[in-house]
Amino acid sequence: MKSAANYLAISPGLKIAFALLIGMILGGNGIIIWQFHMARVQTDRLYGANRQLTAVLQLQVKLLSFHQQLDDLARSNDAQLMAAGTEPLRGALREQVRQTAAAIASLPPETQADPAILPTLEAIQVALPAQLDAIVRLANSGDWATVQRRLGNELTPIESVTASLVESIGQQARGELTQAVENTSSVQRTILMIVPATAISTFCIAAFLGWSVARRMIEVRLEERVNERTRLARDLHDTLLQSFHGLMLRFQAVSKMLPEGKAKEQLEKTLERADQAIAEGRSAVYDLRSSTTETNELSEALNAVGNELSKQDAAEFSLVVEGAVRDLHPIIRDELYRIAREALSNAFRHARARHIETEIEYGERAFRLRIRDDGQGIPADLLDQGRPGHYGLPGIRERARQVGADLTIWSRAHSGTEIDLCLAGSIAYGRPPRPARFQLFRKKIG
Amino acid sequence: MIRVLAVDDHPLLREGIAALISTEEDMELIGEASNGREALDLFRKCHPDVTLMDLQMPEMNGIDAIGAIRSEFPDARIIVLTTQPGDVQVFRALKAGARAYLSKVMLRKELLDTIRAVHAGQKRLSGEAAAEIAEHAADDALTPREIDVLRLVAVGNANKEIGALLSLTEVTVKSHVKNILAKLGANDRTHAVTIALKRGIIDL
Repeated sequence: MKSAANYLAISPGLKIAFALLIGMILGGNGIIIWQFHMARVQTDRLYGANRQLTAVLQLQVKLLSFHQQLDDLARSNDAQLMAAGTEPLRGALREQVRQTAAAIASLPPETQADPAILPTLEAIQVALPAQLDAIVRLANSGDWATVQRRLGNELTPIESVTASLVESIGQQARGELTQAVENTSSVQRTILMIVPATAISTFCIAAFLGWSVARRMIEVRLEERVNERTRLARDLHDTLLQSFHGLMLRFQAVSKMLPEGKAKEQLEKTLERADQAIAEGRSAVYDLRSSTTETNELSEALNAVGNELSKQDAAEFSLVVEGAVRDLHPIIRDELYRIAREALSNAFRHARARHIETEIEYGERAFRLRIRDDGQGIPADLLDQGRPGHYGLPGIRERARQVGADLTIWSRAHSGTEIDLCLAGSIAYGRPPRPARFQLFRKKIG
Repeated sequence: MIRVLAVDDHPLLREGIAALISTEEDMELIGEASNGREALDLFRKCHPDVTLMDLQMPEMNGIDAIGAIRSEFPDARIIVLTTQPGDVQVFRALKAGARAYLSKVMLRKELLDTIRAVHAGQKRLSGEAAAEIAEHAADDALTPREIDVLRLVAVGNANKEIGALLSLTEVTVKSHVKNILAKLGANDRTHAVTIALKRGIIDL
């Protein structure tokens, strides 16, 4: 009835750790993505400035070559040649102006086009064809001197306007470049800082989370075992024992029907034995139940074991308890008792020790059990492999592992053996307080 | 002829009782019930001379059934059967009006004699039960509230949880627990649970 709520009973620390973990992962990645976005915006602006510069430079080159070709035509003093030569020039120039305008219009939205570009382009579009017409007319009338003068006076200002445009846009592009370099290195610095910081804290939180989950799993397993024992005891009591009582009555009835004689005598004896067996079974069931609740001081139990063993042995046994004695979780207590009993019987049977010592330490944060002797030590190959049936080492290790204890077995030839078992207090001393809000739930189903 | 009614929720146990009674000339089993409610109905119908009553049963337990039957039929002769000895259990059964108390372990040897004795108007208490009662006769009994608290202690609740479940403050629960320990002579709460289980104050 309680177990359903217990599975959900995650400690607040665990919840916070889990939330932090999610937060760190999302936050860290978010910052990195934002940094990449910033870098992208900067790159776009740099790209736009460069495109603008290229377009204006192309225009300038075209204008210069246009001027050069017109000069060449004017110098030929041939009106017909001039008229024929200007037509393709006019077309080429118009095409170039159109391309430049298109390039400026297609700049990315973040890029601010230089405000002087469009007026300049318009001026060129309007002024140059008019100039060309005037020059061709002058050439046709044979006034070559005026043609030369006009070429010098009217075209040069347009070129100088374009040149200054190139200059200002170039400056803008250089500015963007400088800023891009600066921003990129700042993005790089930020990422170099964020990535390891996020990774380290994420790792730490994940490690804590893993540890907590592992601990919780042990706790849940222990609770399950207690519940299982209780259920088992109840089942045995309610079904098997009752059935036995019923069957005993039927046997008794049969016995009453039998005539006096050997058969009846035998049956009576058998029934007596069965009575004993049932009584034993009943007390075993009660033990099973009470072992989940009864306080049974570990040190007393181990003292009894040690004293019993030392009666038939030369070794001297002693037991020390440190710290205030605390209740152990019943399952843990049983397991610790079995581990210690196994270790003690090893020491008495195999170690040929003079002293065998048990130390129990009820620490605030951890419970510790040490059993040491000054005997001949465990042979190294046994210590490593622990052959089944020898020294019960695999059993000790298995039990320690099941309750989540750290187990160290230290042994050297002729200098003794020490078994050191350490168990987190939260596991050893029973369950941690559960969050309050599950109590409501439990009240309903309990 | 002694007419017997058997009340127990375990069919095999009822069969056993039936088998044993059928060997006797002077008694017969006139009915079987598997819980307290059925027992009351059957009692009204058959008016048995002697009723054998288990205590731990579903729906209506033995103590309640004894009370209900005795309130309608004050001279009903009821023998309590149980697996779980304990002075409190015995005491409650006797107080409810049972004439005899039999541990199921002793059933085989003592059932028939006890039926005859109770039918003859005697009261019977097995030696084990009498000793239990004598031992704790002078003790203070636990109050119903204290028993509630103890039941929750037994399934492993902490004071705070017990408080929430019984709508008591933690301080009140603490003082209840203190009284329980004193009354039972227990060293700590888990010891108290063991004692309470043994004495039948709470069920397994």
